[in-house]
Amino acid sequence: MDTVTYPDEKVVDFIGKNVVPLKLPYDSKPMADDYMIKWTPTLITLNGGGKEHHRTVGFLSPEELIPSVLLGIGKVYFDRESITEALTYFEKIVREYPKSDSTAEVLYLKGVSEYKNTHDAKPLKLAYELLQAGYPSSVWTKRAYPYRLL
Amino acid sequence: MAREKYLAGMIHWEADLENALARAASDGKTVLLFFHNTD
Repeated sequence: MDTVTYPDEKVVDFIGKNVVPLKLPYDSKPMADDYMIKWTPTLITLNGGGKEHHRTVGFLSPEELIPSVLLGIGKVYFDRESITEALTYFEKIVREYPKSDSTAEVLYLKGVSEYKNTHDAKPLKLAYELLQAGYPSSVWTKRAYPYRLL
Repeated sequence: MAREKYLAGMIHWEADLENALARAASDGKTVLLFFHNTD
């Protein structure tokens, strides 16, 4: 990632504007133990209190890193029940990175977020239909399977 | 000018977790923690 992803101009710009980045060797103590690092590269999104909300293990291209980090930020808001803010990140990913590997999870969480905001089950069913149409083999499509009945 | 352009094209990593969390809290951002191989 040091030779391909991090030097990418869009990644540099995105990281600078959206997150506080910290790079550590895989054996840094005590963080490697605290965050149970077993392989590299591992990227973790933390809230301001140091709590983990999203993790990826393995190489991410520039095209995949940005939506993955956006998903991580969205999950920080989702986990603290700041649903409107979470939705702005989920909608941005769907709009700007529709083909990314993160998008199926985003569609699932977007449906859940809209349900939490409205208590209307239609977004859950729509999430399943979008997942089934665009990501039929995704684990997120399987997890949304019961929503087809709503 | 060349040095400024070079530095502008790099990610500015924080020095340690304490600094990163403090900056995240003050800027209202999240921390992206990247563990890498040292080879």
